Amino acid sequence: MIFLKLKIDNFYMFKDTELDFTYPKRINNSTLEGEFLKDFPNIKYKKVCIFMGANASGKTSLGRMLCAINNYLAGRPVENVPNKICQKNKSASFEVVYVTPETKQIHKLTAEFNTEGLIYEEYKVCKLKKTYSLVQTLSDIDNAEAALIFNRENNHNIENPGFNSAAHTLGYNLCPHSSWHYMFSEFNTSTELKKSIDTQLLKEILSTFDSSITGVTNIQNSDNSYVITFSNKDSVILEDAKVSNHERLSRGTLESIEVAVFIDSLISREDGIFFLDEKMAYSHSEIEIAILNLMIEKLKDNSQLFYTSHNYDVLEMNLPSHSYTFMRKDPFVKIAHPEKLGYTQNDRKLLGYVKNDVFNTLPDTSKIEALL
Amino acid sequence: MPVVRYFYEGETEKKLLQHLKDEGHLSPGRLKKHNLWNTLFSKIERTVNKTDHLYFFIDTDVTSDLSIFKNNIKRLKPYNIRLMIQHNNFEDELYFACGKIDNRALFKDLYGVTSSKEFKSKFIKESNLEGKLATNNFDYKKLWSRNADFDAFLISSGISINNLYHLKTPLRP
Repeated sequence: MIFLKLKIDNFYMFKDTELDFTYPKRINNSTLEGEFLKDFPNIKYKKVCIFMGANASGKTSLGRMLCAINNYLAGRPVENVPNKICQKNKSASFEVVYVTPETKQIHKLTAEFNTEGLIYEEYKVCKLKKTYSLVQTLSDIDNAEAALIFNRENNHNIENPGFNSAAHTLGYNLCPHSSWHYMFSEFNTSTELKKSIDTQLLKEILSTFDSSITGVTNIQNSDNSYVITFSNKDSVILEDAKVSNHERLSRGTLESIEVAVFIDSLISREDGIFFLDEKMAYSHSEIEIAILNLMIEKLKDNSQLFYTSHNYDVLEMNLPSHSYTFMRKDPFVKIAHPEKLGYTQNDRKLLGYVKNDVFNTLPDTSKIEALL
Repeated sequence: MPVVRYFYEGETEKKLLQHLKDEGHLSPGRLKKHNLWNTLFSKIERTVNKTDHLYFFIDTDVTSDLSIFKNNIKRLKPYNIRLMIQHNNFEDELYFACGKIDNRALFKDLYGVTSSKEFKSKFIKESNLEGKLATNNFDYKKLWSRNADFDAFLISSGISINNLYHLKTPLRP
């Protein structure tokens, strides 16, 4: 599936927050090839979405929401909803518009919860039409008749839905053939967690981080255990992406193991949603750029990569301006899509705008300065 | 100060370019591996900017598959670039800069070897490149100075050379 639009209200620090994962106009000689739905070139979606913003600006929370929505569409309950609702005495909701390339459909699902469970759900679905523009396609789904409306008056005999989708419970296949991989600092979740990883890929990435690493070999009769060797003949065991003697590796190198797992997943799948949350925070900027470029290059058709970073150099990458989304908290999460504000060129200009706080994304450091 | 990127094809070129940088004969810049003959520039395009100065050190002895090269030259049109033409290949370029008759003389005089493979292996591992080159009358100003034949080849292949030497040479006078 591919996310096209998202509205979040009262989850985390989102308040009527809207995100647009489409872009209006194709760019000549774009450095992102195939940035549209395969077989439906009018469906121009953001294949690469880089979220930038100060600390606690909502980047990770957004990733958690996307992950929760993916799980919800697959029939799993949204977990810990009471903890995720900001104002507990009010309901929280999300509205998501997405396409499923395999079934050539566009969907719109709205779900509203209170701390007890699902209180409202509306689901719409339409066939994609090749002749329709993006605007027509979005209008088509907005104006479509709901396939299902669930609420207290019309609960379809679902007395207690909990935090599960009523539509899914009633047999609607909300998101067929979906595939995803979300990697956060505290957890890693995927539709198909691979046991083994390409040892060549692992070696090239690890030795880029630590040039004293000379080899990575798979331990015989084991899918997920490796020996990492160093030029001084030291070695450490890597099992299930965890290192036995982790102080032998720098923090950046340790994190790179999970990045390698993520890239291996991205390379091995035909399509999917991929979210990598600040896993490169301990990397040298040059390595982060190289890794991000590798991920973009290996991203297949009908896939979407979400990436969060604080690194200014990421803004200097030769990417369309619509690949960047700026986030800030004031006091709720605010979103700035540069392409909607007239900043249609990148060519390093975005960095200047960010440094001059055009998007109001710079953190307020006045409290630290008061300590001087 | 613009970001300068030197794209080399093989490890021997990298070794020499690093040496030239260290000696101050080459303007400061980053060394990156990229071969315009077999790898699409679009794969690395996201990591460079239009204000960067891009120098490509290219061999000219294997020009059988022109399609990738042509595609790359087209893609590079909006960038500041200069092709650094290696007359045939790295070894030929080096023997010319050392005033040798041919690459066999280069192999023999530098390392007493006869094959290109042995020469490259020893050159890459060389710990005193400065001394080795000095004793062989190396003149870095002679490097990448012969491009007439290749330009004629490009023109005959329908490739415009107007944009290929947009930047001045990075070798310091």
